[in-house]
Amino acid sequence: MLKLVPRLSEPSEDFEPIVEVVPKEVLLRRIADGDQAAFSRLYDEVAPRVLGLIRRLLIDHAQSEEVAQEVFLEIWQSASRFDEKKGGAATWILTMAHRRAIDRIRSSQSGRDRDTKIGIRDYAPEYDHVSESVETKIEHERVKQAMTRLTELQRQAVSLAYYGGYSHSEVAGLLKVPIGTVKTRLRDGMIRLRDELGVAS
Amino acid sequence: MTERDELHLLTGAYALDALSPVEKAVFEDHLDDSEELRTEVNEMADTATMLGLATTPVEPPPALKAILMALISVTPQITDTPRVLPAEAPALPSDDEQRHIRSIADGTAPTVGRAELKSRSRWTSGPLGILAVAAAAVALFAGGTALGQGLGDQSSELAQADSVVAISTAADVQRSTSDVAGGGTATLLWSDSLQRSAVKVDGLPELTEEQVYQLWYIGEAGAEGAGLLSMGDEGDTWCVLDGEMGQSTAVGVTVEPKGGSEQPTTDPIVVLDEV
Repeated sequence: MLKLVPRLSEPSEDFEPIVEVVPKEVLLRRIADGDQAAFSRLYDEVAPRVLGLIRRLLIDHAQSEEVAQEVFLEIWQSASRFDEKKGGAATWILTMAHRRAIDRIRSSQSGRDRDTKIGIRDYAPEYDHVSESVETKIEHERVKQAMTRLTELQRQAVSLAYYGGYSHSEVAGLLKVPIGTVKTRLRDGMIRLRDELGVAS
Repeated sequence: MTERDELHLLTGAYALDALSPVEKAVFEDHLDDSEELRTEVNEMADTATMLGLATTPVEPPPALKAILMALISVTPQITDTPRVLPAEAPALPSDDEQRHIRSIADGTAPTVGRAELKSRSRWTSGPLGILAVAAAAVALFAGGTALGQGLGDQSSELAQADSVVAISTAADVQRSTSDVAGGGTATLLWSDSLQRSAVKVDGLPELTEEQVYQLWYIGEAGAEGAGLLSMGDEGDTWCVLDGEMGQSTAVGVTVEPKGGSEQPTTDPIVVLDEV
């Protein structure tokens, strides 16, 4: 059988040396045992995603970096709590990042700073094609496509909550619909997205 | 509509972090009771993750990683989650593990590399600077408190962890390391502005069940008890000292009878000067 072997004799800037792929779940287990090299590796793999999500919510550079730092410290401290049976590493990490960003938004001062910074803007996911990898593009396309399957109200409610960081009562105020309606729309919208994106256990 | 239906309605808002703190707490309480609810929540968390992965990645500045690598080297981890070993687990360490243990024993294990040393120096003088680190440490204090709720006895470990982060990220943090009589090393981290200090020990000799390691603040006025070191299995642990540094000029560790002593009854096995 033919095997691709990295050519160590000719390092080239165009071709990164092939590194053994270690699943993030395995890296988390190593981190739980105090492995700093595993932490370094996990950081390199997921930091742009974590910071990307936090920046989407907080807008402010400096605050986003602070929150990203909190997230990674929490990963280091609580890696032993990660339970593969409950979900994958990406979900564990991005859930933590989203929660921490939301906490920051809802502490009043930064919430106000953010509101003045954002002004009025569209909460549909932005599609910045300049710096995207192929992988990211595919994910964008899939989510964008799935979003089109939602009703207008579902899409607005889900986007405002997830990308805007608004609570359901704030979403209700912004969309001028009762809170009960927002709760149902959020759930119906997420169920539709789940089915469209093929996420099911 | 029953309460159960009412709760089931909240799965979407929960996965999107759109619930109020009170609703969130009630919802999480009920999560334990319903397998069906848990499944839906897990699926929605995965769905939310897909939304998260669709945002544009942002390359962090190199300083962020430098700070983190420095922080984790002094930040203790939560380790009291019970580890269930499978019945067929080998009693002896694997070949790899044994090689690793040997390499540690004979000193050939990789130690702190140049990059890490560099990152430590950047930690204090890097572009993000102390202010950002300190701000993050303050945020950790706040976050840690919330995190501690509902964790039972893990919360005290988290509180300790938060204090260690606060000390190690203080603008005026200092550190000194000494060998311990009888084996091992001890490192003191302290901040005059916070008036607090923490001790990290590695490879300390095992004590009998009737003995404990006790910490002391030592000054001109004598020694003042600063808590007991609860040891890990491998003679290593972290501990934030009780009380304030005050007029003390050093921190000492002695071996005392179980429960600790009012005043030291033996000579210190190590004295770490606060200079």
